[in-house]
Amino acid sequence: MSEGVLFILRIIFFTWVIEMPEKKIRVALAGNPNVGKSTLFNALTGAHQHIGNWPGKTVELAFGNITYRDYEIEFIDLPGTYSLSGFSDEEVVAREFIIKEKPDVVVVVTASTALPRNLYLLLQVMELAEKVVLVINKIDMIKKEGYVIDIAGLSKELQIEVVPTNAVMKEGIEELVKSIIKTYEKNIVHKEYRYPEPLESYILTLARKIGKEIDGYDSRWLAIRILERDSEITNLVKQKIPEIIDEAERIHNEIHKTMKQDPPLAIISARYETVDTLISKYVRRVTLKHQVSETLDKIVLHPVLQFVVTGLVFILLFWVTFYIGGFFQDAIGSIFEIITSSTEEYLKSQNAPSLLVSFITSDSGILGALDAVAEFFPVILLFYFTFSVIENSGLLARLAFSIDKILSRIGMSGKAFFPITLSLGCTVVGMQATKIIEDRKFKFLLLLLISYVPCSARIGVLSVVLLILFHDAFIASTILFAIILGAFFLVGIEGKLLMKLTKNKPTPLIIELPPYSLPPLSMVLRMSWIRTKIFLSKAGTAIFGGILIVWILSNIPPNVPLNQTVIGQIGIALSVVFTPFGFDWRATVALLFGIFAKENTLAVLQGLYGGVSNVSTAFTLPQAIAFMVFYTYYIPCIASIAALKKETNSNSWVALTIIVNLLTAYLVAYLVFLLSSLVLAV
Amino acid sequence: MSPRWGFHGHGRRRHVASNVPTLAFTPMGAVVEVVSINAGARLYSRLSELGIIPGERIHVVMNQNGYIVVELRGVRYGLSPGIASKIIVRPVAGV
Repeated sequence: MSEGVLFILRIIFFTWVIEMPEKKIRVALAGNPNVGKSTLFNALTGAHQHIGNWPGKTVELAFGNITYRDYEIEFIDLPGTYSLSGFSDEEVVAREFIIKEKPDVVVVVTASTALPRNLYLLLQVMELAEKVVLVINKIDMIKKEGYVIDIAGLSKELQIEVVPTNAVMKEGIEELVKSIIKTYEKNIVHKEYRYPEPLESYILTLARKIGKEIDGYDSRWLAIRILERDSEITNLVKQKIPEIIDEAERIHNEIHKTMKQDPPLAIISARYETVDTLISKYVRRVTLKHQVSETLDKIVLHPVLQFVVTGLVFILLFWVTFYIGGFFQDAIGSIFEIITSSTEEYLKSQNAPSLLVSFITSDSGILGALDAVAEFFPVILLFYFTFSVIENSGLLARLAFSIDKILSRIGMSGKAFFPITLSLGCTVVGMQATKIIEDRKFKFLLLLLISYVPCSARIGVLSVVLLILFHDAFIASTILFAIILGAFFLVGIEGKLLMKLTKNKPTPLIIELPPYSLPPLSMVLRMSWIRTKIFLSKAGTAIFGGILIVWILSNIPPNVPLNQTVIGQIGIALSVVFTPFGFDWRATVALLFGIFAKENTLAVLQGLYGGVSNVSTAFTLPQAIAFMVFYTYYIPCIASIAALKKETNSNSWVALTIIVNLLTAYLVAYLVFLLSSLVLAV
Repeated sequence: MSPRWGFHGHGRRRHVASNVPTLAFTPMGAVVEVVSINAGARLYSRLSELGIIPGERIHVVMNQNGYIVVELRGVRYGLSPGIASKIIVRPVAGV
């Protein structure tokens, strides 16, 4: 090859190398809850987002990419936290992300109206990260609420970029991106805040003792956390430097002596003093009014009206999710019916083998499985949509606060209201609603309990079967009502019992009541769409897989009656368990099928007993009632098991839930069996 | 409405000495200063990150049988009686 060609190739190569790759910047968004951080994230990244989990935690992180000029910027929306103390999973994830992933820039999002509290997090972030940008969001509110903020002054004092935004109207977004790039390119490092003496000297003494950075945490920060009595961090340092404990104790005692204050409080107070100094210098409140929120709170928090409002919001949520959702569900169902029957006809006309026809068109075949997954879609989407409107409007927090007055009497938190009541519609939906519960232990416990609450599918099966058994609408509905009421009792009683066993005290409620606002439609739509997609991809696989497994098991060996198939044999083997009740194998098989979708039980019962009317003669009355009770409480369906896995991210908790549910159902059903046998014998 | 102070010795919350004014019995509309907080490390940290620390001034927006709505640092919070009764306060004169 001639020199000339090589030269040209070299030029092309270098131009490509220099011009093509964009500079990548990773930006983490941190902020208190209710400052509009997610709205800002949506305004920044638009449609290019996905959600991921931090390893080992159920906390969600949202990722989004944009290209701006020569830069490719990745935004990571950290969970909203009040601090980085590490007392909750959210705080740990936010903190660990900043330390371990080392984003190039950390943006601290604040709300113009809540700066006196929001700036506390800024100070904590500045202790961890070098390059920080401060966003003052909801900037439109300062006029309404009578604030004046000296943004230039604040920026100069903190030595960071400060950007006012109104994320709802997408104002200030480009300025923010420019500030991020400027901070990154010009290496703008914020002012380092020192604690007032003698606190700073104590911190430095301890930091010198630690000497080096441990697991990415720098020694000064570790010293501060030890003085704040962060047990996790103290243990981390202790493993490397055992003698740190004595030194920490000595300094704690000295602070007590010289400052007459508990060391953690001394540090926290010092941060708030810095915040207060900043506020008094750069923020002025001209008038004092929260007009809209104050008036609305007079109604929403009114001693009597609050329950009316709660009821109305609940009816709206329930109606949209299950009534409108149900309408679309029916529509999807009918479309699938048409597809299924025409496919069946076509296949039969082509003389396809009957096994293939059944595999494609039966209820537990491919089309049936697709239908089951598709029918979840409208309900889940509408639930997420309505729920996030209620959540982001500021109503949900107030309703949880109101209802806590009632639920705390039975040892429950107000935040359990929506998960429990929504489960009457669909267990999966109820499980999604546990999202608002921060207390992990309580959330797990609640997830175990809510599968007792019969969902609409179970209520449907119950009402049909009860009518067949009793031929009397009044008796049937009385028993149905008793079973539903029984579910709430179970939630209450077993909840109390398990809380005692696990020493899980109900956390007293502290809840922020954010200013009322109308969340932007595009954000709510996008977020519910992403959530629904995640749910469908996870639960969809489980539902689809589960249904297909049932089909396969009930067709091995092919073309034999159900009792000779694998699943029939499993049912027969399992029916030993029900000897005390005297159920035959057909009832057991029906229950087995119910795991994959609660509606299956009815179809299998009808199929196995050869018609509806025979069901009533096959059971004695106490047997029938016990069967129904067991059926209601025994196990969540496969979709709720998938939802349970998604919410807890723990296989062992899923297993434990199933075991506890089964045992409880068995015990309660047996009690009911004995009682009804006694009553009916009299 | 004149603010009435006092602690009505709630049966289950014995750990608070009687007749010490807590937030749970602060009347609506009052402004108080936090004196101390009777809580474990976890709750203490939770309250402190909201700004509820000794020396902080709190405006009581609402009180319904111990269920308190407070405003501080520009933000409103709802506290259940279990928490409000752990926060010892004193009235701020002249407000």
